[in-house]
Amino acid sequence: MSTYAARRILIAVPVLLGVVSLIFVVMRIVPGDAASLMLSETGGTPADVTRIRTQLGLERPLYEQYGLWLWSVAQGDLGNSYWTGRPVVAELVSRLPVSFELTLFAAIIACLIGIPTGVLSAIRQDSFLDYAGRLVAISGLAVPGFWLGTLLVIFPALWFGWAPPLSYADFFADPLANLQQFLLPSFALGAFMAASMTRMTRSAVLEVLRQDYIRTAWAKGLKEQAIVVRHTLKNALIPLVTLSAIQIGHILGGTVVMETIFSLPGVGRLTIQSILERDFPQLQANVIFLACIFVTVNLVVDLLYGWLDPRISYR
Amino acid sequence: MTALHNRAKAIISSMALLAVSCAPAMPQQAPAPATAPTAPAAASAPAAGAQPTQAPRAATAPPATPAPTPRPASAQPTPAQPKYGGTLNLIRSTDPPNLDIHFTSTAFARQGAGLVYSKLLINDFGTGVDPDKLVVVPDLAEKWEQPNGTTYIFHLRKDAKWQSLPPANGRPVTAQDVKYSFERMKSPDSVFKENFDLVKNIDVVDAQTVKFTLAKPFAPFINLVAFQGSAIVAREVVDADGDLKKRAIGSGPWILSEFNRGVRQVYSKNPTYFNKDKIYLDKITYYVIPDTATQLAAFRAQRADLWFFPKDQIDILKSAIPGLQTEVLIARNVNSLGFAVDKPPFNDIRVRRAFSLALDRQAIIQFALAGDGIVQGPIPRGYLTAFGLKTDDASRLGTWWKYDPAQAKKLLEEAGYKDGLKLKGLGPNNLPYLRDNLLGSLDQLKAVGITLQPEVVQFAIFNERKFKRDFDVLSASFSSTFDVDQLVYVAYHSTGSQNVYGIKDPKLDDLLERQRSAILPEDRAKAIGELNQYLMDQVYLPTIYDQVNWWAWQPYVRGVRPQYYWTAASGEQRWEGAWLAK
Repeated sequence: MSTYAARRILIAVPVLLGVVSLIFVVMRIVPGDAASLMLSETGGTPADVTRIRTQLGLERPLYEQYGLWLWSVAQGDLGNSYWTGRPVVAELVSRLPVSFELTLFAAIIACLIGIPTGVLSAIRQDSFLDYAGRLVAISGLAVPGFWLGTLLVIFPALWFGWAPPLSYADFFADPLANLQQFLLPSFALGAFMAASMTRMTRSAVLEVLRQDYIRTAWAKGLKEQAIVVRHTLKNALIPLVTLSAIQIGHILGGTVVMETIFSLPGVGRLTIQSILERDFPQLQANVIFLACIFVTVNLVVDLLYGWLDPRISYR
Repeated sequence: MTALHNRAKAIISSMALLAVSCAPAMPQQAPAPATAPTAPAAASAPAAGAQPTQAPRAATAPPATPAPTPRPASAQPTPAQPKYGGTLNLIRSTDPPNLDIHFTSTAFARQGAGLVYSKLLINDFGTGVDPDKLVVVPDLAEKWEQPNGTTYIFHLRKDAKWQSLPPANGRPVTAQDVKYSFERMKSPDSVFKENFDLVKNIDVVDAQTVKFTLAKPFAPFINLVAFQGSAIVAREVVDADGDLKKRAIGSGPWILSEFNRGVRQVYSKNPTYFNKDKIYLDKITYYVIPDTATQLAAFRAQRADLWFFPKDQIDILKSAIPGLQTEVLIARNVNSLGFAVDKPPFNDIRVRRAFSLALDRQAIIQFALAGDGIVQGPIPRGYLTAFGLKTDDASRLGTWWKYDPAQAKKLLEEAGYKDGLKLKGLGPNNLPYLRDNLLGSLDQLKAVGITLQPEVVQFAIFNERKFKRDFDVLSASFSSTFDVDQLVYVAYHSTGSQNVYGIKDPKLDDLLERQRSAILPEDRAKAIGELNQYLMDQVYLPTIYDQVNWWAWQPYVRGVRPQYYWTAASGEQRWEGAWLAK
């Protein structure tokens, strides 16, 4: 397994390089840069635009910019934001806890809702509970996250005169305020994943329940709880783990929307801001980070298979 | 598309209203005064820029301020004894990338700075001040003189001190600080350098007196000195940090105690401020809330105390919050569909006039702003009123601003475009009203034979194409924050920084120079009037509307009255006199 892990990490390096290089080039090809944006309110002469572009290093040829950037990354320097002047890593690190907490809570909520609902739906197939579970799942898949998020902001305010606290509170500093802030966006973000998990869990559990060894367990007189928990769930989890890895990508993308709606200062909002502001160093740093997350999550998931199913070996 | 758009908006508004009507009863609020009917400001009240000074001027007293004309607004609370303490919670949709007020172009940098820094002069504010008037009053300068058309002498107050933070450490504000600050504003990296081009010399007469000598008479100068961005800064901070990006240390009423980008800014009362007796609040907090639905929710839940909303949301809030206080302000910006006038087809005045006649501006206001706007000529009505000029439709809109598709078609035929025109219209996707100006005009232009292909793009792309003049028709907006000159000069002068339309008209340049160099009020009024007539006649920029903003603040917020849009959204009013009745 360790050889397999090491090989996967080595492969990740060119993957990361490819992703970031693509972003590097694409952002510089797309029209608009920070220089013209900085002059958007006050206006400016072409000389002003050139002056600012020179200050930002944007006047250099593309290959030169790329080479300089790669060299500085190799030395551990991802550069400073065009707009704030602060190191981009510092900005990114300050936003990480927010996005991490949002993603974690969304995943927890998705699992807490999706797995039990899916199991219940499967073991009570074609009953009212099954239909209700499937309806909830379909609704979760159909409802856009941004719409759900907006409703979760508006209606508590209009009906109960309540809105989440306006500024981010660290969990360890003020857990109550923190939970008030994160509960709704986590729910909105996790809803889609919960719906997917419900359907996948139901399918997986139904398939496992039809296996011979389950029939044998019933015949032996085991209780339903033991059959479901001890014999069924673990085998049904394998496709769920795969789904989770894919869904993490969806959740990470969803943080952009939820962080904007709920005014949470996370990496998603920072990323969208850096795209709109053409803050290339910040965007590149964010992309490196997000790509690392993807690669790591996929690696962890692949390694988890081995733990879940002892028959799986790594070469 | 118009009907579908309006239907969608109606459905969303109905859902919100339905939610309100199903809501549990609101808990009883503290007794608050009844809200008087509000009315758009521009219709009744005269507006003013700075009171133009007479030149030569020997008197040292500031210009007399005429008594404000009373105007309808939400009723001011019954006078009560202000209470000390509390935090005023405010909203902003975004925050500045850094704190350097002179070198950062976004208005949001100036908004926070208005709380921290002082200026020589300031636009008057307060519950007794008419929001339509822009009257300049002393700030750091307790008085000023204008001995001739190009010389201004400011006498600083002796009790002004820098905030007690290193490296300024509470020392007195001196004339040297003023000189340094204005020279910084003139420097090449300053986003305001164009405004201060005409300042030839800045001389320190003594520790409390500074003299400005201009290259030629510049009528907007006093307004410029009172402008948000004309902040007096401490040299020591720049010397220590290299810039003003990281710290804001001023002589204003508030100390910036927290700048958490993307989250909030917190300001604490400055105990050494020269008007500290008028500061009742302990703190002001600006929360960064980019989403408009969240802004509404925060205000409804009374986590935020003041902000502006569309009219339909104001109605929802009024029914949900008894005693809500509101004010209507005209934004004093100009929204237009412009075009390149130095090449065909718009180099032909008949085509420009035809384009303008084809626009049903009221319909566009309804589509883009749900009616929250007024039809606007080249110069905003508030500025015309300030100069005592007529503001009836004929006077401020002229012949070519009316909706007359038949005449538009005729003009196009005369110009040789009997078969119509195919044009591309560029608009940004981050400002819905600019996008909707384009979309709302499609059918109207089609009716006269102009097929407009809308290109709604990301703001960065819009900006780049705007500067490169890569458009046929451009949906854009201009604001002036201190003087009408700031709006007309940048847009219409052949050297104007926002003149992306290729306007090069020597007569127009002459009119623009005349209005900015006319020191006597009556001369300037005449020049503005002639300028307006010429702009209406030439139709270089078919302006559409000025926005109406509805401001709301909680029943327990007292001593506050949002003024002109930019001052309300910014720290211009400094919240002096504001207090919380809770």
